[in-house]
Amino acid sequence: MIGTGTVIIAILIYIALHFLIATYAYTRYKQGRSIVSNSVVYFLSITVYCTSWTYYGSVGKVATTGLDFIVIYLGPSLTAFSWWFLLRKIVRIAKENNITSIADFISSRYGKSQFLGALITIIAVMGIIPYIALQIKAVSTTFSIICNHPSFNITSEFQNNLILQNSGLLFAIFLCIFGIIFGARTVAITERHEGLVAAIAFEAVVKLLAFLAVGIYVTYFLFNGFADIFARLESARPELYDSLITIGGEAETTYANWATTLFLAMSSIMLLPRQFQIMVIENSDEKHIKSAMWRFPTYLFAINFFVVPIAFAGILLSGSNSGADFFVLTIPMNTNNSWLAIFAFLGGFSAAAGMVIVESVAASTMILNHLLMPLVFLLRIKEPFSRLLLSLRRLSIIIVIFLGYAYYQIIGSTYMLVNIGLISFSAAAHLAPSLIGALYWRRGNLFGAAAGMIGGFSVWFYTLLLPSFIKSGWWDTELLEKGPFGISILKPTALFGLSGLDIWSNALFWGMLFNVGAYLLFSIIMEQSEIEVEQSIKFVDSFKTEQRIDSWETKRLSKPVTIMEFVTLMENFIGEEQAHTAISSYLIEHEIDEKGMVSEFELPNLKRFVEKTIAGSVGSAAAKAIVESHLSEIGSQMESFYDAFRSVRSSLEESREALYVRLKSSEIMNRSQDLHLIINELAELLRSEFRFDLIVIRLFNAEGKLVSWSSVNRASDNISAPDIFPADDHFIHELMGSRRLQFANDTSKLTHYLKSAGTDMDHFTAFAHIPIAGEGEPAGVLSIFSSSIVGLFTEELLNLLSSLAGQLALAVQLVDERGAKEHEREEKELALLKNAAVTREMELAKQIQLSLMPEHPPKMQGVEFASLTSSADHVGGDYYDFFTRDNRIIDAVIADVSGHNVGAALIMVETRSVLRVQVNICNSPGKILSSLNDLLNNDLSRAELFITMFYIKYDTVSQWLSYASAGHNHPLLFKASDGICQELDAEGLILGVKEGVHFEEKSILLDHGDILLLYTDGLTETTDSSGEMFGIERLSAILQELHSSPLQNLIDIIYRELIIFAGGVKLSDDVSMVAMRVEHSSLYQQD
Amino acid sequence: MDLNITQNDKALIIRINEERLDAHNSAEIKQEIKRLFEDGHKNILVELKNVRFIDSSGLGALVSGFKNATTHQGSLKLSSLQPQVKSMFELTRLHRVFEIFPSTSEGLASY
Repeated sequence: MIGTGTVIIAILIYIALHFLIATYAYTRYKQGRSIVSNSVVYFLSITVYCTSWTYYGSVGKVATTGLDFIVIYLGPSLTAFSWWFLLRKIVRIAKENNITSIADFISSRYGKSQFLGALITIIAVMGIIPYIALQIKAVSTTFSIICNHPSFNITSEFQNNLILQNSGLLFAIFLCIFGIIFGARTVAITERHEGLVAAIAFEAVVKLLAFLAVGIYVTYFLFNGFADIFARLESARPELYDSLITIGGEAETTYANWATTLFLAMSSIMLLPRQFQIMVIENSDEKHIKSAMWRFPTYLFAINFFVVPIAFAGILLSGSNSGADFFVLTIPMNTNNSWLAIFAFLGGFSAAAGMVIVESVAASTMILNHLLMPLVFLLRIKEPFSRLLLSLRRLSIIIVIFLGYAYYQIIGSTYMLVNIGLISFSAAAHLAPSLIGALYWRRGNLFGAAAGMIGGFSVWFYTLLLPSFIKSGWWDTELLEKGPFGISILKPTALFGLSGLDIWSNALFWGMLFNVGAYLLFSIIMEQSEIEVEQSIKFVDSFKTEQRIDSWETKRLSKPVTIMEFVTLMENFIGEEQAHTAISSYLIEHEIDEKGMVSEFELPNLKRFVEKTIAGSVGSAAAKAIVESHLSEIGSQMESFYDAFRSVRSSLEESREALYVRLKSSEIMNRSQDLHLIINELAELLRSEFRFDLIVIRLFNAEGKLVSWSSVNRASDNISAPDIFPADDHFIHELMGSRRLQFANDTSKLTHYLKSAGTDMDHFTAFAHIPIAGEGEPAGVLSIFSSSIVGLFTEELLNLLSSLAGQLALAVQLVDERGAKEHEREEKELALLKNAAVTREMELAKQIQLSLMPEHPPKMQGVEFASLTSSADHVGGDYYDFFTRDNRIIDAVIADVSGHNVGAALIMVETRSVLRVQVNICNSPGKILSSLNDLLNNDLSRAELFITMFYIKYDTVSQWLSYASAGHNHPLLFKASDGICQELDAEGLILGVKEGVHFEEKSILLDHGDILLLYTDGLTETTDSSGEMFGIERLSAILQELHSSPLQNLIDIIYRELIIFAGGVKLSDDVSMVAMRVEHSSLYQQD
Repeated sequence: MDLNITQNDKALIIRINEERLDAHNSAEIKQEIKRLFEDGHKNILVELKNVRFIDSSGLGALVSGFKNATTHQGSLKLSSLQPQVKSMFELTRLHRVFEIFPSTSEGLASY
């Protein structure tokens, strides 16, 4: 015989085991060697779905209504197949957003609405309180069954023992203690509760083993297997047997009822707060979901395997199906198998305890975050929050469990166990439309979700909860039978005249009709708020990981906030230590500057991180409110980036803001002529109007380098931007090539090559380079960077920026032109000064050169000479000279050194010197040229110059003229005897081509009045405006006409005619003339 | 300076597409011819078909080219001289220094 004391000791040992396992798991977790983080524990913990309702209730249901119990387990098994898509997606989103509960999850999706969070919390808590009551009832009932049974040695003094009387209360207290220790250890809810999960997994094993033990004992020890039990029942109670194994007959087993139950079971596995807690919040690895998908249904199959035999055996053994709910416990007791009975009791205890603990922890989280936090926040409690939060969380657990206890005490004894479970399921099912919509329908919005839930939940309350109260005798049964105020159409169990359905199907049909209908209707007719749009993308597109959610940031902090300010804020909510851990984990991956601030571009990220961290404790809705109110207190707020362009986007007309910017920029351009000032003010204007993260204006310098003139970041700090060549940046290079603006609206989408080719890709998500160009080449580049906004550069914005850049280009051009004029003037002045110096030098050189020429032709009997030289430049290459040998022979020479520069002039001087020597050495013109050529050839070659020369020797007595030519222009000889001109020529190469040249020497007899004109090519080759040369004919004509004029007059006239011919312009070539007129032979004069 | 340089299997042909060969552009052609000889070209034929006028600087450039040819054991020949240019060569007797051909094809045939 086993006494009650043994039972109590067994329970206490079992409870102690709970604490041991949980503590061990928690210790291991803290050491980083988790025993919980594996797929087996994960799936075992999911079986928290199987509560005492499964453990005891299934048998009861089979014994009374037949096989429909199986639907409760078929539903989750079917849902389990979708987990790889559905559950994994929820887990992914929850982890990314630090989601704390199902209420947090759904409200977070619909714009982090506090209202929706509170609503879901109320629905969930109202739904689970009866369920918790059920568990407490199961434990206390089974405890009293076991203690009151005659097979147990119950002493009379124990009959009224406090323990027995208050077993439900004691159970509740145990649950509170365990829940507080392992479910609310720290403030951070998102931290997984490893101790708790370990205990749940342990319980899962115990309840399965206990149930299987009872099942095997009943089926194979008391009876001879399944067939035996079935056969015996059929023979003993044929009618009952028939009804139990037949599907669809009585009201409770209609198809509609099956379908309803199936639907409720399918949704509750996902939606019950404890399932969400275990499957999502406590999940440590998405991969665990995969194996749980088959393990969990297998577990359900195993635990239900012996349900029917136990139920049938119970009916056979007890003779009726009354008390069928506890056959699992009573059969072993009645067959005097006390140890098995205790094991069975502990199995049921496990099933109940696990459910209550997880449910209360999940519910406390929701209550704290969605009901208490808004209150705390409203009261503006300023002291550090973290302690308060922890106390509130623990208090919430106690509240939830004792609400369940109270429910059990008040109405717990009326309804059958299974019905309480289904009421709970029905409440949870009203979260389904919003949750599914949250994951797959972008358009679903807050109004829809709230309206749907309110509608659905109202129907639930009216058609299910109210009748359950009435059946408990709380309310007048008239309402249930005749409808409110006698209006039968509003009868809760047959709403709107819909009769013929069971109570569950009726509630589900109307509830879902209102819920889904309102959700769809309001979502379609109402607009989403900005934050909802943002959240809906996060949720619906959570698997599209390449699309970084952060990059959709469209807001920024108007005033920079230091890291310490954020840390202080976090300390309030999650405690000092956790806050510091969190911030350091964040800062490892981010850079901070010397002022203890993250870069301007990081602030929105940091803000989001802080919000997320706090959300881990208080839920996202409250976290959002907390962070934003804190920021507004310190004078910073999130502000939209480009509100100015909202209106532009929607209409073709420019917004007033855009017009304002244009106006303002032209004002800047017109106000000043200082380009530095203009550019700085323009950058500042862009910064203040659009709050771009970085604006750089670069202009080209003379070397083609883009020099930074202004660079302003969002905080209006002038920061240095490097000077670059266009080739340094791929996009600017492209811009120069195409002369079109270059931009990227999402740098993460750029190819790797482009990323490495452009600069600053790591910091910015969007940028645009706009050429500062008017008509011609770009004068520079306006570069705009944004660190967070994808898709910033809309066509409208780019158009506006281009137009501003165009205005700037004009300003740059004007300044440039002004500068160029200034520069030109200075250049000219300088050139004039320089020229003056050079001119003086050259004038000097010219004077020297001219002094080397004979100032006056020599006067000699029998011959008259005249000469003229005009050099195009100040010094020239023309040369003529006279050498008087004696008083009857005179030599003359004319030469032209190629080129008209100082070099030519120097060669001319050299030639003169050499020639003056040669004249004295030999007296034949041919020989003189020949030796002159040999002497000068080297110098001429080196200087790459050459000389044409004509040399004459005239004997005034014999009147013979002998001459030689080195490729020179043919002199004109005017013969007075016939009045015509002839050209003189003699074979001879120009000087300076090669040595050893032979020069032909010719002679001609002259007569009185003959005129010989030697000249250089400048004379005959001077062209008029039409390109015609002055030419030898024109020269001959003048000569023939004016042959009797005084010789100097003659050549002056020729020169004047030449100037007139050239059109009065300065001659481009040197012109030299030497004229000789034969007078009477000096011989006669001597006579 | 508009020069058209083509490599023939016998010689390098420089076609001067300038109307005037004078002080303005003679330095350039002088440099060009010098460079070509230094680059290892031996036979250069300068086609003067398009040159209407040449002055002493232009002649100087060609003479300089001629001297470069001599130093590099090469040759500089001229072809297709217009009358005025031809007379200039005759005047300076440079037509006795240069090998001058009436046409480029005849010039090439001489190699």
